[in-house]
Amino acid sequence: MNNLLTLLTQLTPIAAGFVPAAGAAPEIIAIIAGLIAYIQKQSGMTTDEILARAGTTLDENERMLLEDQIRLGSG
Amino acid sequence: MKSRAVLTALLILLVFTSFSFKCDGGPPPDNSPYRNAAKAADDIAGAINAMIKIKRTLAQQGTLKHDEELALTNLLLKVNTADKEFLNAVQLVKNTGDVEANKPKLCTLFTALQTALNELNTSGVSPLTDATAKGKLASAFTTITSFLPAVTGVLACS
Repeated sequence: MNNLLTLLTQLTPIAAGFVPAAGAAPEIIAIIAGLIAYIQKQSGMTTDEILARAGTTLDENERMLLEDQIRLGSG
Repeated sequence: MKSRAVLTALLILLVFTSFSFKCDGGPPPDNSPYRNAAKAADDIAGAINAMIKIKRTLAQQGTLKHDEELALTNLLLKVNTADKEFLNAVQLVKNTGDVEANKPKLCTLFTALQTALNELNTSGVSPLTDATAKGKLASAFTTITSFLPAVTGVLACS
């Protein structure tokens, strides 16, 4: 579980650092959403708890959209 | 006589105290021309939040298909990221006043925001099949774009 949280910690700044118009961010966000969904199933933690454990800070819009990504299964 | 001296001393103290307030003064007035651009970027973030909530409501009502909502979610994320980066850059310029050095970066980030918004409209809102959902999300999109002139009025990008 700690390895997954470390991976999440490393992935989220990469997603935030993409140039928005380049089109890469949704793919990375989809990976993050999938990773969070997997951690939720394994640990029973909420999205907020997982993000806090990973040391990730999101604004309200990002958090809502990430929750939607998780709900939609990232396609 | 003694009370007069005390009164004079108090008056002098009051004058010096008022001077000290004027000298210290707090932060300088925020009269940067980029203040409106920063406010617009902040307003855009609020309008994005409103559009996310409308999208969620429509999805709960079943008027958005899974793939339509997923596309909107991805595109809104792009717009939000672009707006956040632009807001950070504008606030830096607003606070430092270093316009010339940062203008190319501001223009690049603003172009990225406009590109992300165009994509949200053409690939997210326009293809929607349900007319009611399309109308509500198109209205939310228009609200977002209504804040753009406040930026273009300040930031003249060639």
